[in-house]
Amino acid sequence: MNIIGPTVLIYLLIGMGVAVAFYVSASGRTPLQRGFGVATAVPFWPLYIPLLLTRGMESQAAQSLRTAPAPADEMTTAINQVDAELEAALGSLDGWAEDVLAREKDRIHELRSAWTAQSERIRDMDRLLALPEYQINGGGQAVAGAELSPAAAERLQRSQQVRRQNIERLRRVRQRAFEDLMGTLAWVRELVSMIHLAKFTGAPASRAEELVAQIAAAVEGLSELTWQDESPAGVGDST
Amino acid sequence: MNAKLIADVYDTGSCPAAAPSAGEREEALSAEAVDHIPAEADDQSTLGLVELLLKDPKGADRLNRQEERQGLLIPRFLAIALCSYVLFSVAMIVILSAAAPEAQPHRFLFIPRVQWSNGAAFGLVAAYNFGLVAATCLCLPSFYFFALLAGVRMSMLQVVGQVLRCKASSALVLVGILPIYVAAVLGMVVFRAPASLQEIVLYLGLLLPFIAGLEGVRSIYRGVMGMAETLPAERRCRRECFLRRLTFSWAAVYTVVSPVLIYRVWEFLAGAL
Repeated sequence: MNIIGPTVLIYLLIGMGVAVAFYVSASGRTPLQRGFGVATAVPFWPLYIPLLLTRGMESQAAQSLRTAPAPADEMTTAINQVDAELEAALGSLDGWAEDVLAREKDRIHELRSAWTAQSERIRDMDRLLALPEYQINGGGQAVAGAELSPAAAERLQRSQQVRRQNIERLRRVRQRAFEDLMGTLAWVRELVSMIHLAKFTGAPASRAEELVAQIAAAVEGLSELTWQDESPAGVGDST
Repeated sequence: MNAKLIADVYDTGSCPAAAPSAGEREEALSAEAVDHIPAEADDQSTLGLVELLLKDPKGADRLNRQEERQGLLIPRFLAIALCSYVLFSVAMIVILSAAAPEAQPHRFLFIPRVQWSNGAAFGLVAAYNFGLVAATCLCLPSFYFFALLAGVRMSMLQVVGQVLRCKASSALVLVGILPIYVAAVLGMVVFRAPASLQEIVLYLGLLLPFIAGLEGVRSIYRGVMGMAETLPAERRCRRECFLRRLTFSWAAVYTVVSPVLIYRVWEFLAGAL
């Protein structure tokens, strides 16, 4: 019995289904990217399935994030203000830097999401650090009270020391993330004011393009801050 | 995003390598500092990604760990790999067509006679492009379960990202060694080297993607180790042997599956076209 034919047929049918799903979900991509994705999704659909499933979960998460409004704090106020100023500045360009605006539309749109995500991340860290067990001197007595051998006591002491170090590092990460966010917001405001200045002083369109590209590049600055900046200390590190 | 070890709660043994001396630590830090000179590559385009893979592999690893970027990175890594394999296949068609009939590979394994006019040439392009990537697709479930068995909790998307990043790296190495190989073989053809020697070198050429794949194995290992970087040094050290075994298992499964797939597809297409 020849099973190759039916197997290939089923494989290709699944591939076509995945290609259609990719086409439908790839609305933010260029025609070339979309075409390549659709063409390669047919023979290599197992590579695209995790991508499509994750994206589905991400959009659900994003939906729930959108429906839950961010608390009105210093960061939300600053983000809203800068976002409004940016929208106004880009709206006032009137086709002055149309090409670069069309090219960078996605990244500028991504900027707002990156700010919101970063502020949410900072709030998460704040919530964690506000817990009593994450106070520098808190939570250290969890195992105290039992009779311990000197070796076990030493190990316990070392673990507590490392724990304190990690909490302190987490505080620094939080502080750096906050400063990074505020720095990016201030930088974008500065660029927005430069756009206005360039427009009213008759600067060439290339100057506006340069400024818009710099704003779009600000999103990279935020994503640069990763977990690698502060790796956690282990017991071995404390020796 | 960080890899987590399933069993690290139960690991209590000590690990001497986990506590490097001050000298070792300084040496490692200075070496890392040299390695971490950021390359000015634009990761927003496919060519920029190629540049990043060549100039700053650690930067590419860092980029690849960002799950939200996988949507853009996976098709780009795939594009890099496929373009490189097309170049390789075309070069092999040129070489196999230029070689004398008695030098055609036939001694160890029959290889379809490649000429521009017959289906074997198209079969070679299709077999290498489809076979090398489709073998990855076939191995994905195994890769995922091997990762779980090694104690690294990676999502399927992370596995795909790691594997395609390794594929792109090895494809670039393949493109790098290809001109040297082509020059050497054409030299042998022009200067009429013995047919048996030419045949062996042609077999070697067909195995070039697997030789270049060693770079892919290295980058997978680096990627997997990078995903476990957030673990405390002590636990990471205890799991290091498992991570090595994980990389080895991935490489072994892939090395077994892909040549068979390539050969079968090539044989089938050469006969059918």
